[in-house]
Amino acid sequence: MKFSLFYEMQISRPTRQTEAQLFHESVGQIVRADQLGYHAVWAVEHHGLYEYAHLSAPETLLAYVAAKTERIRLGHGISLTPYRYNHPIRVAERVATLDILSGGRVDWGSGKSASRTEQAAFEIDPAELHAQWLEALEMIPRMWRDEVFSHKGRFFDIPPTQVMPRPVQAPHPPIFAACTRPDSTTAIGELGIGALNFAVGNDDFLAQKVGAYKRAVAAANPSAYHKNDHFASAPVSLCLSDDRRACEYGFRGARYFSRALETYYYGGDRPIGPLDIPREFLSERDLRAAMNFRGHDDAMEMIVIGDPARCREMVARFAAAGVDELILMMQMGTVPDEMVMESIVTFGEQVMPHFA
Amino acid sequence: MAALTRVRGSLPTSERERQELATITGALDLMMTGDRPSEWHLQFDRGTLGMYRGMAREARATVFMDEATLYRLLAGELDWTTGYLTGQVRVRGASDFGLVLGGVLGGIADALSTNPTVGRVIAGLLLVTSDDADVDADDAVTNEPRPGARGGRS
Repeated sequence: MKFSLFYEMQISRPTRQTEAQLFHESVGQIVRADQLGYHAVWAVEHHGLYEYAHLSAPETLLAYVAAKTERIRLGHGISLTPYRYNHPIRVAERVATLDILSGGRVDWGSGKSASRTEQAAFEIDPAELHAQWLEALEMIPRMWRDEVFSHKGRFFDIPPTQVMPRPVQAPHPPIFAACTRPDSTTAIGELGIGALNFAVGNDDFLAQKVGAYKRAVAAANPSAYHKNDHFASAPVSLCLSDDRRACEYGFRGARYFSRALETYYYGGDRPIGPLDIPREFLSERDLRAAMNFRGHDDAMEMIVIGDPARCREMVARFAAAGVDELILMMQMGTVPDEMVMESIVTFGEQVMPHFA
Repeated sequence: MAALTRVRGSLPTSERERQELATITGALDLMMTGDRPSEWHLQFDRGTLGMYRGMAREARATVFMDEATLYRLLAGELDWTTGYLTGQVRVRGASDFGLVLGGVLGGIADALSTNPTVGRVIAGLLLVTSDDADVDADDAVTNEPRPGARGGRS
């Protein structure tokens, strides 16, 4: 089991000052995670998702992080590949450059965006998102592999072109894609690429998804890129020595994260301005219920929250389901920097060694 | 088909919600637990939503909650996410599909706050656990089990 960190650059009621502060604090957290032996840092690309994700230029963040760290892998994921977000050639160039400068530490994830907020801002027809993503996914690894690249498809007609530079990792960085639903997770497996999966559902549901993915990826035989058999799951997390304190802040953060996500992905038309979501602590009654519900058979595999002993129990459930990598979402909008840092250290020292 | 569709149509939902509802197909079982247990299922069929007594033959997910939890959700005292995190709302099966009910209940809670009449009718549909319930819901819901549905309590 590998352990990584997940960054949206989430922030409650930001000002220019606190937004800038968040970026610098997060880099400090990642540097500490590098020292503690975390596997990777994953950085998203989102646009216009106020308070939910202020990380719109992950390539810039990761280049800065690369210079500040020694060994932690740089999860560039996911980058949006429908061409109005990023032309595939530009993605190939940026990822390769980052791979060179980091000494071959890039894991590359691609996706298509699911929020209407982003699609509308970039004037993208949702009906074409999937086809555009799929075409770019087939093109980009060939740009890294072939001396001279050319392509004729539905969206692109590119004459023979030399795409430079080439990545350090040969034939290319490991490839992933975002997925959550069982059908999309299986489809990612059929493409022969790694799965970046939000942790939703109980043990059985997760185990079924992992099993379906593993069967699909075993049968995959992609021609344009090297197969990547790797299932990563992303739960919200907070690990502190005091179980109750971890739960107070962790469950408040989990609710903030989930409600913000729902607002942009399942809510009404394109919210603008501060989100109408709760930011206060859970009531005593709800907090007690949430603490007691951890470990129940019906509990959702979406949290790793508590003291180290509790976190070890919850991590063991992911391991039993066959998950290869946990991407811990500790940076939640209502969790202060010093607490994220404490959690990174506590988890790194008291949980990770048990799963080495 | 007597269903929630007509009522849903009068809710202050967004175009986005209507588009999303149009993409959802499948059955979701709803098990009301506690002192007055009852079994329901919601049938999503590309833009229409029906609610029926009894469990579906092939539900994609089952949601469990007691009546008090449903009241708290509808009153806005409990949000779906907190219900999920605390185990007051439990989902088995395709959990992502179970989350759809959260959106439906969210729409009802909005209706309760902005259009109490419509809201009370819809809330009544979810709270009918006996035939003498004092809500005028019969014009918007089929109280007989659908053909093929497993029998439920009433």
